Amino acid sequence: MLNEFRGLTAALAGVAGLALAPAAHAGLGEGVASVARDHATLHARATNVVPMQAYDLHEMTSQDGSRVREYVTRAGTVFAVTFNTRTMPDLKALLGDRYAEYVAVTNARRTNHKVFAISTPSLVLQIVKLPRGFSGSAHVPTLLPEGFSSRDLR
Amino acid sequence: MMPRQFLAPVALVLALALGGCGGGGGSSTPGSTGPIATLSPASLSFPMQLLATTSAARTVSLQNTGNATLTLPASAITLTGADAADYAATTDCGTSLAAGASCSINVKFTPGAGGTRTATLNVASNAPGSPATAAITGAAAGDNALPVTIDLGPTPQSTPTANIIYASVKFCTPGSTTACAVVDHIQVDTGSYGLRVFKSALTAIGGSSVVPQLAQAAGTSDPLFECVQYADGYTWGSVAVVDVQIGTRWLTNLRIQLTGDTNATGGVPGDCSSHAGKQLKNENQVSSFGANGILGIGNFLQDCGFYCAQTNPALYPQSGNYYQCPAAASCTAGPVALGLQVQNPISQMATDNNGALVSLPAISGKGAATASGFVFFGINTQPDNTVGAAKWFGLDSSGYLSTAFGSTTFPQSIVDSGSNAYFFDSTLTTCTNANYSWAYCPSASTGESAVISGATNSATATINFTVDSADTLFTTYGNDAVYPNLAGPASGVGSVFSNTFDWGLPFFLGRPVYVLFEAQPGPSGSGVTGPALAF
Repeated sequence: MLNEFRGLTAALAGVAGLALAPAAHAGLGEGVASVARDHATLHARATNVVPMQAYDLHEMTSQDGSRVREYVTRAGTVFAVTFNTRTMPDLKALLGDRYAEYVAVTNARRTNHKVFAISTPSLVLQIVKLPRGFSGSAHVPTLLPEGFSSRDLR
Repeated sequence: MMPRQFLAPVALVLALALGGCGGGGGSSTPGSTGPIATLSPASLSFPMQLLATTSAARTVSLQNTGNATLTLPASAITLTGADAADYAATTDCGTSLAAGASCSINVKFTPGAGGTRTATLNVASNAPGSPATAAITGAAAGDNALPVTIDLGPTPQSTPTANIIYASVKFCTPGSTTACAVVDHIQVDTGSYGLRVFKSALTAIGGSSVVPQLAQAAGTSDPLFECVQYADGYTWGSVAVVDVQIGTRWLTNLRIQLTGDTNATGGVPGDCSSHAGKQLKNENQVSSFGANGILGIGNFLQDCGFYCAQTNPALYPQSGNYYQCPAAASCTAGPVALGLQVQNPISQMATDNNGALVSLPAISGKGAATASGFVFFGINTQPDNTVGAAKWFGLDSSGYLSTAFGSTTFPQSIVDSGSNAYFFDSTLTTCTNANYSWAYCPSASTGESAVISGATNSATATINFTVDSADTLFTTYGNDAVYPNLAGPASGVGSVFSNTFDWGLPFFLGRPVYVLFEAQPGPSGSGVTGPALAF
């Protein structure tokens, strides 16, 4: 049992629910190449890339029902991510450099444990702790493609 | 002939009264005769009270609304009726009461048996129709009741809490009924599962008297730890085995989380606390969390459940939940069998274990200093947890129901006593004050309406509620702990829509909510199987 338990470690590297490997940033504002790397590290049962009119939607799903979607511009920049996961995803990977904004706000004051949201010119982020999971979305307003409404993020 | 004898002094009193008061406001009218004993209110209703505990006093005012002195004999105040022994009255009324004067009778309720308890308060006097009477009713909570309170929260803390339900729980060393500590301000949460207590609070209150037994990872002697993540941070602590008393119910060898307990080597695993070295908010302190612990009594039986019990890591990665933490090495994530996970404590009770009823009073104003209610264990198992006319809503396997608000449907809606407001996206104005930028600040009190639908049945309910500005609530009612009209956005900005409409604590005020556990059959005719809610 001991070995079985520890044996998980290697397989788990970089994965928290559908988290992305720390070394493979597919964070907001970063390049699409990192998304492709992330796919390989995920234990995804299904991975879809759906070309939309003005962007590509990379959707990763896993056996436990977790799902991460990354929205990538034609120029290859991640401009939004959404998630519906069993455990908290690796926000550092998903948010890239903007992760620091999230951490700063949570540490600045008592914040709500179940619903968290911030909205700044460089990051719009919302996270909801669900009965057995998390949902959330994040995007960079200035990076949205022409004609894309953040209300379309799902 | 007797009335005539009364007339003379009456006229004198009336004249004096008019002279003294400049002619204003006398309660007597010419031609009325004698003293009149008036009790107000004319009936007294006590909120539900735990068996064999004594309520706060409720006051009945005795006023002499006649125009002659009211004379009270010795032992003028008596309690009669079927359950008179459950009530006790004290008074500051003397042996007489001048016309227009009043005095107080304080009644306390100590239920001696379950169900509705009735009695009559009698006040004997020289007034016609003596004794004056007031009907008294009260209901006794059964041995399945846990008193709960909404107040400003535990100490120490950085800021007072709002709209958080708390209960007290007694923690004991396994096998002992004396090595115990009663920890107050444990948050009651229908949005999570399992009992958690901050180690620092248990130590502060119980000293070293309570010695939890550390749970071990399966097949090893290594302690088992657990990570619990929130939208704004994380907690970390060991899985411990303790005996607890919740209300009147004892649970032995219950698996709980000892929040803030530290593992020997390697610190908190990075996939719990941090990503690439960036610390998530550490909420392992009472001051940052706002409670001494959490009593998770939602619809599920374990905090993680099926996924954490799966042993194929290729399909079911385990990070972010349970960890094996050897003394001399860093923790590693791994599966834990269902029965060894942290358990919803109500599901572990010998009886009344199929669910819970959360019952909180309605709040009539925009704020209240405190509110008191009960969590009743079980559904339809006792007189105090019968569902009655409440409507059932089946939840899906993730615990969601659906909410339609305006033109938007929120498929991942939740009813969560652990959320301190209604959280939903709308066009309402978000507050600018950084301390509560999570709340709405509409310029005027705003009425809202939404329709809740069951996920597994066709039940619907229209819920009307009011949103008041948090600026108003937190200033005008700044010393209060209960805010029935507090709301905020789920997304923080109008241009993004969450999938979640979070019916938080205000939803529970004045609305009994029944939480049916997973796999439990609903009442006959309900059409649901747990997880389900009724309200």
